[in-house]
Amino acid sequence: MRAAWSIFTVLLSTVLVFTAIQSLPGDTASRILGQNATPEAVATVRLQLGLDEPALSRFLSWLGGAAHGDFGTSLVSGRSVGEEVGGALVNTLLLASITIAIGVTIALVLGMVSGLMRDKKPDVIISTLALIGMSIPEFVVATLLVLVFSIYIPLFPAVVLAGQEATIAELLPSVWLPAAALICVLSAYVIRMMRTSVIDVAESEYVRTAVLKGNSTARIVFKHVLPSAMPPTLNVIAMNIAWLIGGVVVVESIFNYPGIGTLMIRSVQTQDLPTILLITVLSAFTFVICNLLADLGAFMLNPRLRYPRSAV
Amino acid sequence: MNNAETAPVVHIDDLSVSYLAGGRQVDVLKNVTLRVQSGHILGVVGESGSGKSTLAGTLLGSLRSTSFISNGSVTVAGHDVFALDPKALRQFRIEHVALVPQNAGNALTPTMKIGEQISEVLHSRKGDKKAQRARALELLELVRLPNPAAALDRYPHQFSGGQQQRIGIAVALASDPTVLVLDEPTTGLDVVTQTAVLGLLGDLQQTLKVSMIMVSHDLGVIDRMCTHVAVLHDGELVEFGPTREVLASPVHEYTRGLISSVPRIDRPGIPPAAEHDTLVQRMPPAQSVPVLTVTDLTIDYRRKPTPGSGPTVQGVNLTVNAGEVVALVGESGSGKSTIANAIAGLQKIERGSITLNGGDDLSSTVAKRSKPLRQAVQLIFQNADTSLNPRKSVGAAIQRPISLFGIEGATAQRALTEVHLPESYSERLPGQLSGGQRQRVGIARAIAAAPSLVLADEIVSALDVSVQSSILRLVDDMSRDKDIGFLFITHDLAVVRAIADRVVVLYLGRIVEEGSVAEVFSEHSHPYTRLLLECVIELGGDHSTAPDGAADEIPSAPPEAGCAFASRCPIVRDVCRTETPPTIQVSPSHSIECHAHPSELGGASAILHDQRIQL
Amino acid sequence: MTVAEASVQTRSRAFPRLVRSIARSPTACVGFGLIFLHVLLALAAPLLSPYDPIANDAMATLSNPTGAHPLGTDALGRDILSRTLYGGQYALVVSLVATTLAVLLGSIIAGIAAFKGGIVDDVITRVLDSVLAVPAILALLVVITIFGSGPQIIILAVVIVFTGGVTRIVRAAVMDVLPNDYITAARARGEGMFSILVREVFPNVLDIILVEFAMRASWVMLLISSLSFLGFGANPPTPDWGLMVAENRNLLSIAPWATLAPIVALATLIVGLNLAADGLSKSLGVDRMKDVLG
Repeated sequence: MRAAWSIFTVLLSTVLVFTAIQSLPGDTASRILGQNATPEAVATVRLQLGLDEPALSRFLSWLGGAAHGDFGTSLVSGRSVGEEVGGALVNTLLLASITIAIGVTIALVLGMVSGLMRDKKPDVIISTLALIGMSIPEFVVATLLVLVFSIYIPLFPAVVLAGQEATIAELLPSVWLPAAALICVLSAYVIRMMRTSVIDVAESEYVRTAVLKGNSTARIVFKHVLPSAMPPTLNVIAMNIAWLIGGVVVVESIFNYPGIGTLMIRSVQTQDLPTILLITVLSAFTFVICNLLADLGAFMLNPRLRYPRSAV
Repeated sequence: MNNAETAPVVHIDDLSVSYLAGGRQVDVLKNVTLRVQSGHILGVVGESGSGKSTLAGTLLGSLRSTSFISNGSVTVAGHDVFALDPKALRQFRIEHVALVPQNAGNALTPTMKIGEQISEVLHSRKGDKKAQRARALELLELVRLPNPAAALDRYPHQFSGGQQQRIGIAVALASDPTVLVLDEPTTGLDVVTQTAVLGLLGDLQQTLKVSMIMVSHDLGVIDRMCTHVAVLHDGELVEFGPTREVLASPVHEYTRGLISSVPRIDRPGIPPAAEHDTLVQRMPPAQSVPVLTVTDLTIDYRRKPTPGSGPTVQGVNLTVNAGEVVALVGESGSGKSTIANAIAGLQKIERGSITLNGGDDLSSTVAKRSKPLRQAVQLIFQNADTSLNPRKSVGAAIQRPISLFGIEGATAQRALTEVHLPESYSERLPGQLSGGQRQRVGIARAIAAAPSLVLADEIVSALDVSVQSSILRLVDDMSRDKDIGFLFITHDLAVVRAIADRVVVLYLGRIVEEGSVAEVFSEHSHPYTRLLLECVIELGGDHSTAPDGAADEIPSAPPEAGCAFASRCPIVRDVCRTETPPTIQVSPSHSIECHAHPSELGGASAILHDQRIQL
Repeated sequence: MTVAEASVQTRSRAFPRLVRSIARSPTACVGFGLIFLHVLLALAAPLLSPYDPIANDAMATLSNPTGAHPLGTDALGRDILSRTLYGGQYALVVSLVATTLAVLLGSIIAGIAAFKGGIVDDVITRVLDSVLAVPAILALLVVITIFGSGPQIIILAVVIVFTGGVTRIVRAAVMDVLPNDYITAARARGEGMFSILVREVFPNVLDIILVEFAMRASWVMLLISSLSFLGFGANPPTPDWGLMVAENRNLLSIAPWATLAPIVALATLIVGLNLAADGLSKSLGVDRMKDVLG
């Protein structure tokens, strides 16, 4: 049931974006051609883009193409949008997976420590760092990181020189600074949520009872506190992964990292509509998938959902 | 004589517990001294704010994070509890003491199986999974949990409240404690389940010979279970002694007041409250002018009819006359609130009619009712916390119905005076009033609208006993002075005896008995009413005749056909499961719905014929 | 008392309570202090700035801090201090207006959705969810592609993108309030949806809305400055912090203050907003995190 709703949500997002793009005032074709907008050129482009047809049929044909993996041609490079986005996506995924793997792990641990030692020194330090982390825009973090780790201590490259077709191996050394910038912000939110969740659970009646039963601290933390503290945090993690797709835009552009973000900026600057459409739809899709996974995770961890109440 | 034999198992010595609020020290417990001998059961009784829960906590070395010991010590089984280092404290909690918490459902970790929650206390069998499981099974059988083998692998939310309480007891007993501490073990449970759980505890005490400390606000429970009683008032120990002695001849003024304000089944009348010393006898109104007439009311919560179950409420008939207090008695799940909601227009009905003052139709929901109709029916709720808007002043809350319905000559101040609250309270917020005062405001709000009918849904259930009486008096006054009909919903039979003129007994959405209070509480009763009466724990009564309580689980849904009570009835026969029971008219005003012959429904009422200590 | 009078009475009682809550929490005090300071500086910029922020001075490019230019100059000879003082204006105005609109709109929609329940609630939630599904920056970029990047457009875009999140939070809060008996009492009196929402519900969710406002404002500021950084927000030569960082970050080693000044300004303002939100939520007793999950 949830899956059906999710697909609907993605579809709706797509429609919204499509409609937004369609409502471009003025003549799209002449806009694109700019200086070269001779009447013949305009007519050709309109034909190419199918701008003569009504919006609905354009949407449907796009959908039809999408089903086959054909997302149209880029207005800028003339190559298949699917190919370009695909290539960029792989690079971004590399960046994203490193960010998530390291960021989420650190954040969960720090959040748990912070929650368990509420108001004591470790908590104060971690909470303050988290507050700063979420208050500073990614581009600031990135800029500062470049200042420290590329200029003063030349460890990492400040800018990625490899182009779109770079292989993973070539990108590896350049991935760390952007990842670090993203981790700073991502983990801040996860730490705060985990902390709140842990505090909530630690104050509950059943944890108090577990303590009174004489259980060891380790057992209380891992068997009584964590399983109940995780589900709300999973939700936040999902939302942050979705944010990542957006946050990637700024960070990638600073480092000129050849991923989706850079592609998006370029597409916006050049008004490459098909590419914009695909990227936006992809991100909506990712967001929905992440939420589904988070819900699934919460479901697995919560016996109340797994076994509905039945008379014994 | 060996000193060790007379050493108490629990010794609280001049104990004071306090916390800091805004720089001042506030004492939760003040210089409390108590001794409990091995094998005794001590009852700690007090109202809210007396410090009884804090006292229970100290026995396990547990305090709220902001509280601290400002004086004295607590010694349990030879250990000075608060002098123990963390490791020793943990050991102490494993070996010597265990807690059965108030709401066992909340005290069980929702993500762990029951079996594991019991096993983790079995430190002597650590590592031996089979032995742990065997012992856990033993314990579940000991607390009479149905299907214990299957239960081991289930999660807490899959059990009912009563079952969760039993599991809580099993967990506590698992460690073989020397001292068992119980914090309000039966609060929130249905009266029949309460009896069963107490019976279980009594049996366990006999066999295991464990010492118990039981905290409760219910004097009846204390009387039934405890050998000794300690009375706490405002953090101070005001009285202590063997239960029978203290209840028969209380020394302290507070104890005397507490005992006398408990409503009793055998004695009609509203018990004395703080301001008044006398018992007030309730007089039913002279004439019968019907205010509310409900005929053949049927309400269905189910989305679509499921085979094997019937509608939530079926075929309900009842009347309320002007100036009369009619009690609607039922346990949780009986549908009493559903019926009240339907009368108030907040619930759709399937079939049947509801009329006001003999003419106006109340069958529709609020949206379709006219203003005078909406004004005529008012509600008072159980929980004073949620019945008043925390951000609205008391005066504004009362003023709202006055303005909305355009009641001439009424003001919020006048309404406050009528419920015996000072006019200056009008500016206060609900959070600044006590529970009893908030309930008075709720009454004022309802009365201010000049209604003909008031639906009072469990309005005294959440109040301390000493406050209950004054609220009941208020209801008595209002019904008489303003000629208002009250439909008084409650599960507490003693309250019914105090305030009601007539009683309607509800079971799983069907009326099983109806009559005047004297009649319903008399010799002839429906088997369900009889069960309720037998489960009432009376102060000073003979507790040996309490029922076994084996059938204390209410089915989750009413049956499709036949009598709703068939699954638990001691005198059930085949016809009960298929045919709707006929009405037996015991007297013009007393009717019972049952297939049995009237002679079977009589029987020595243990409540009215016992020897009891005259207080 | 009409509905309007009722809400006025609520607000007159709410304000002193708000001030008391702020005073009680040191975190909130610091936060609001920082915000107030920034607003003051932005308003007083014309009085405090030694130079015209967009005046070029070819003679004094990229100079280090001197008496004449306390924070130095940038590549076009413009005074950093002046530009930093003026830099907050664009971001503050756009953010605060956008946030106010989003919070207002979001709260109204949330109230209606929570009260009506059923299919109305479902539809509203689904539609908002699909808007939320697109990350904020991307959505803003899409809007900018189409409509250009004037401040009004950006405000509109922000409102579209952020209303959904506000609705989620406020809806959860309203749904917490609705089951209470005093709402039942109001329903039984036959009061209509708007009457109940304004008289009974609103005073009880005001706290959450305020905290939400502070949090959203910080996010919106982050977003707007990121947009400016990418070149889609304020246009040169307007002094704007995000834009300044973009313009000067390649010259960090030569004229660090050109980049660091706007960074410090931006960071302190956002930290202030977050501290205010945190402090308020603690002293008002609002548990915002739980509400995030609806």
